[in-house]
Amino acid sequence: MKRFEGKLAVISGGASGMGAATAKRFASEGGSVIAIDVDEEGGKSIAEEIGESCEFFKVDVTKEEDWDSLEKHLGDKFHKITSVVNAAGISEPGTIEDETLEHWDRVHAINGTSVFLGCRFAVKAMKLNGGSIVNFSSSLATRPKPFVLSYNYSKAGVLVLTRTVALHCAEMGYSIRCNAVQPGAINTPMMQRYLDAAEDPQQQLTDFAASHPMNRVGEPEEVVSAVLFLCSDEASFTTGDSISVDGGVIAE
Amino acid sequence: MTDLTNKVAIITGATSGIGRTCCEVLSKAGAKIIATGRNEERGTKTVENIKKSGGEAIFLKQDVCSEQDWKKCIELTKERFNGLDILINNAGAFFIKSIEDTTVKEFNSLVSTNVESVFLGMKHCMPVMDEAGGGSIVNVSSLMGVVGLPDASAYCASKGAICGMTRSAALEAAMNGRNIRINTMVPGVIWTEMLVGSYGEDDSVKEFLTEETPLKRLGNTEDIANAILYLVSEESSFVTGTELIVDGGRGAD
Repeated sequence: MKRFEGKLAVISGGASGMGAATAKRFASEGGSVIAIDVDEEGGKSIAEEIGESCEFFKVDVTKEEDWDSLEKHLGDKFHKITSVVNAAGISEPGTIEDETLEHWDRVHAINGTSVFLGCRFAVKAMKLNGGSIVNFSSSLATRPKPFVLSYNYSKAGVLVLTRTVALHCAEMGYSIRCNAVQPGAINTPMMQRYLDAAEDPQQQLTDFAASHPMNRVGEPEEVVSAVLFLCSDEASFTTGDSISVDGGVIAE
Repeated sequence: MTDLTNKVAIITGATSGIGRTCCEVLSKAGAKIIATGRNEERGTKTVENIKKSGGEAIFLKQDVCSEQDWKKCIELTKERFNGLDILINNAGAFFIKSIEDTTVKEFNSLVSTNVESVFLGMKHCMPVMDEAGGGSIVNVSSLMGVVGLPDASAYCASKGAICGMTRSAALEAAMNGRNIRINTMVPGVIWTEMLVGSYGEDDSVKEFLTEETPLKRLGNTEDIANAILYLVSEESSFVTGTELIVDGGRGAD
């Protein structure tokens, strides 16, 4: 029996990077996936690649009305959801000296508000039958780097949001677990954008690798394993926790 | 799914509780098991059960604080299984006593059982893992290594030490380019022989601890063994130096 047979996951950021990788593996282990993303073209292409166990639905995760239309679209399926993975996010540079309020708000909307809306959606969907929520934080939530101020802040917020949702669900007696993952630098389109913007991409990659004790960046699959462990019944006693997948950064 | 076929694992404290379940879970995933502990009768039973289910395992009577015993354990492992991939430093002890009532001897004895054992395990197993191209080590701490518990100063000290030592060892291995990952497993309250030994079969303690846990149940040894399986497998290949907490939400509270 495959691990996610009969399970249904909603995965944000499903069009690329770790969200897409999570969608692929969830489906390959027997589950069905609703991949959501603002990127329609990427999302459709991932859904096509996965086949009939994956459907793409366009959602801007920062917009309340988009989550509402997802709920409406799902109809009877809404209460059959068993996992919600909030993977959507952005990372763009900005220090305390050059960060603009506009950019700060944008990062917070995409990395923070989206997770609030995603968790609210998840609790409403799963409070009757139970399930698991996994939120994407970052190693930078506990080991920040000065060049990504707004990102650090938003990902730290995700950690406390995760714990609060976990405790609320436990207190209410819902069998919903809520946990986070904290990836280090992972080989995704998000990281590629940093490399493309660098004067010397090879040097930039070497620097990213060197900022991890294991002296390399991670692969999306390595984070997906932690996400799916948290989604699965194997983690049935785990809630309000976060798993670091960061090549040792957390120990420094 | 997680596959540990042809992997060799040493598991200490294997005669009961979390250690015994780890032996079963890792064996089911395909690993060959060296189960160690003090109680020969229970250890032999652990191993027999694994063999009955078609697994491969041997029991070794071991005092985890004896360097001599660790050397013997390594010798046996090499001889029987030709190498080592996984070490689970699980053996540990617990007692409840106020700080004034705890004697220096009792304090040192508990710290030795819980900390020196982990140190010796890593010290002697890491070179053997290097020979096989790497490995994964899980040191079993406790939620009491991360938060406090009254009347448990020796236990909290020892379990906190495991977290610190694991971080250091993980960095040491990673930064020297050794392919050995080392992580801490942090269980919440798991009702095992160790707790029964301290509290007795006292339902009021059990009820209190259940009430204290947000998920409103105590953990079972499978909850911890499944998390350890994740940490020792290739699934966690980018995970080192961290603490995996499985506690029904107590740590978040």
